[in-house]
Amino acid sequence: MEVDKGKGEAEETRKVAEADRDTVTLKSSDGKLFEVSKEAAARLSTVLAGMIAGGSIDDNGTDLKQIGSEALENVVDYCNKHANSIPSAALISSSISFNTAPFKEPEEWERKFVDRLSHDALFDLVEAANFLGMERLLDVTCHKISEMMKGKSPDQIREVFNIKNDYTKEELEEIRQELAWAFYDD
Amino acid sequence: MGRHSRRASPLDVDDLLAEILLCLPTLPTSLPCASLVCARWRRLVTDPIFLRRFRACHWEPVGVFHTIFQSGREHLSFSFISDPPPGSILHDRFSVPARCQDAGGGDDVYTWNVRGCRHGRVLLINMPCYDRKVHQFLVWNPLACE
Repeated sequence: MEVDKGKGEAEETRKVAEADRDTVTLKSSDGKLFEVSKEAAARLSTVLAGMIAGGSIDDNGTDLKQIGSEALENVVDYCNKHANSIPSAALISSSISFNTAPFKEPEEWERKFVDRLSHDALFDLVEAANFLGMERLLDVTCHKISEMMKGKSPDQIREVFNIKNDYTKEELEEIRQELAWAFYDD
Repeated sequence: MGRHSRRASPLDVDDLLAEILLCLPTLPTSLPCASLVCARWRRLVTDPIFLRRFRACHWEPVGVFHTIFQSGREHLSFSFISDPPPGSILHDRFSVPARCQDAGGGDDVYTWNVRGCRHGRVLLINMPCYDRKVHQFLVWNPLACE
């Protein structure tokens, strides 16, 4: 009995210790493990917040099969940088108020964070942010992609993003005429 | 910027593409340019729900109304606050006569007054100078020049 009781207590202690841990471990599709602050994960990702609240976080690494290691590393990096960049008073605000805040221009560190990414890394990060319900990271990454379109002609946009032009010449001309108010006539 | 080649991209997903296009600047050429890229982009940026969200995201004023004198006539005009890219759009392009004269070219008989703006459209009221009774209403979309 005493042994059982001891085991029970040990189990209880382990559970309490897990609940008290201030980080969560995430596992990428290719099996790499990353640790992230539980507070930042819950505040920045609605999906992770739900998993933490629902107790479905695996101590040995929560499987995120849709996210590769490079994208997950960037997600974790973003969470850590975000946690460091916010004054402690702001942490008191709930995740709901954060997620419903109106869009703000990316801050300087957020610009630098996305500027260093390659096309593929940026695109993977958009998909990861969308999958994890990270509204702010989604805003920042989408803003970066929209900046890549700025000042470019439709032809240049197609070239940069490898988009097929599915208009016929006639359709294109018709739309151009419809939108003539926005452009000088050639 | 190099050509982008990969098997899938967020641009292939309508919801994500919409999020990206919502971040485009409020230049008058932004959405027309996007709609010329391909049919799917055009469908997205002309969707009323997208346009409502675009306006909500970019609440800053895009231009101002003012009166200008042209050929000795007073015109109510609309100018963009943000600088359009060179060669893409004319400043002071959209205007209506602020005052109209009778057929004989005599005194002004009525004036157009701005009464309100909503959803990118402007309500103008045409009031005769002599009795101030409302004669005509005009709903004007200065961006589309309609």
